[in-house]
Amino acid sequence: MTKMTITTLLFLSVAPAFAQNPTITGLHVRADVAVATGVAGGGSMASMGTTTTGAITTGSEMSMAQSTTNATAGSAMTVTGKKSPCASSPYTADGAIFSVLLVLEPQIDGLTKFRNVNGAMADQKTPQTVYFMTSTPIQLTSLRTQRREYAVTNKYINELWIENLSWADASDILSELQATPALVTGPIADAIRAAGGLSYSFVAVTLPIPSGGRRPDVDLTDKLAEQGSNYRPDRWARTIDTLSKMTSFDGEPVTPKNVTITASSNAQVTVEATPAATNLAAIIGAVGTNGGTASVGAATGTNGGTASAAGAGAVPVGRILLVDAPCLTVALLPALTGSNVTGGTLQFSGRYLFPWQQGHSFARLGISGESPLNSGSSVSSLSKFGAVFDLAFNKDRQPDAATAPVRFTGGLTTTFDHSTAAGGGMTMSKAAGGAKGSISFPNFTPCSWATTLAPR
Amino acid sequence: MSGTTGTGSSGSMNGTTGSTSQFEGNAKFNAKFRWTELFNSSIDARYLASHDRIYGGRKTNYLINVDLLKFIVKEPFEFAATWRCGRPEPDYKKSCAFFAGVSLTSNQ
Repeated sequence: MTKMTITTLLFLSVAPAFAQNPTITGLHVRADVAVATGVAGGGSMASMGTTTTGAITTGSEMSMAQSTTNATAGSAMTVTGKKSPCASSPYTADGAIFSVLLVLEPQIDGLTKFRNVNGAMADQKTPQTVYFMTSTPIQLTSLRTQRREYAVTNKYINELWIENLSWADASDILSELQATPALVTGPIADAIRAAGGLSYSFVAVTLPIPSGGRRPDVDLTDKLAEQGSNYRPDRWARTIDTLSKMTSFDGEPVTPKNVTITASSNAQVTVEATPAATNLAAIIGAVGTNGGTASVGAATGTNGGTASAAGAGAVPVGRILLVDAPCLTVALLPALTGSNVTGGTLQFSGRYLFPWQQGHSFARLGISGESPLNSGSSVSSLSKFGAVFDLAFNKDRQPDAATAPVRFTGGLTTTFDHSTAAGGGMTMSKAAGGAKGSISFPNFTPCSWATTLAPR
Repeated sequence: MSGTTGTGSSGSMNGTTGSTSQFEGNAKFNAKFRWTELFNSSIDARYLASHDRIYGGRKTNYLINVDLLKFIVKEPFEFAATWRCGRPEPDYKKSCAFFAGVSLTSNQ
């Protein structure tokens, strides 16, 4: 009883003091990367194990993350991603399996993040006083880079997600975020203005003081997980409702209170995208960061890791993500100048990739063709058609965890080519089969004169 | 991304001069350079060799395609300025030229 009284007194002495001087000094937007590890293209991914807890490293945080993941199984694991029209998505860089997260981290005097949960903050002086955000105050619907426009959804509390991205799309966003933070700070500032200013509303709960091995903070997050709460906005609303009606916890009374904090006039919006970009670059590989230690500066997880995994640790051990050419290209190329050339060519090429064994093996079917723009010319105007079928395996070596690996590929190849010369006077058909071997280097490192040489 | 590929193949050739079979080896070199978020270049080169004179009376042949500059105008349309040089089959006449135009690329 004595202990409870002390706890209550602490709460009474701290909470009002905080409420009198609520100040949001800024908003930090931390970009992060998540990778769907199952089969994209619709349907449940529950059996594939879509959720991992990549960059969450401490024991206590892992405990919470595990509980959260278990609680959301069967709901958060459904994938709405579209299947790539020309590549088997799970193992290819152009599969729509990547997501970029914009994690909103309010900078509030006297508060710090609570147990890696984006929707909760703890009082720095009295950590048992936890402030649960009632909603995400920033709403964005789209983000436009130089390349294209991306849809943004408020998937989890304080997390804006850009989903169904190819590796190139994710890289596009992160690269531009690094070079032009206004890409996101501008729209966020607009959203804040539209909402009448940045304001957070909380339900403040003062938990019992830890004692004798009892961890009320862990108990609370575990109980929330047991009740099926997760960080989707609708479910989070139920969580907040539960918290606001809570009268006791761990055998001691609690008194939830509503607190609203508004931003100061000089609150700054900052962006951090470099660690996520580094992780994305390293994700193209089988060893190193894939399933291992996230690269330097890796993000620290999101909402306990629900349906996402920050950093390169999101990719299962042993997976190889394949980088391939565009699946379908049609090019109209008029000739400008040259020798033995006609007015130009019309070209097409297409390929389909069938990876298996987590990308360690693959089959590739490709076709290509070329036709002259003015076939009546007497000079060298050629019509061509070619097809190739490769059956091969990959082996990666990744000495530097922050870059993509050196890849060795070997296998069998068969080709068929048919070509016709000017006026149909000469034709040739060739069928061939044989062995094939290749070595691929991801980039030239270091190479400071280019923004990045990673494949897109 | 840069890399080299070597293939060894056996097969048959059919054409106006009759059918035959030869062994052929070829090496490829591909490299792509992304200078900025927008601009990129690439090299695609092939070198072919055979014991027999199957390349218009020669034992070797080459084909080089250099995309000097490519950038996405508006997805999926991409501008390409290309230089191509080599002895394309079936007549194996040397041809070198600059091309410039638009390609339509899906899901790159």
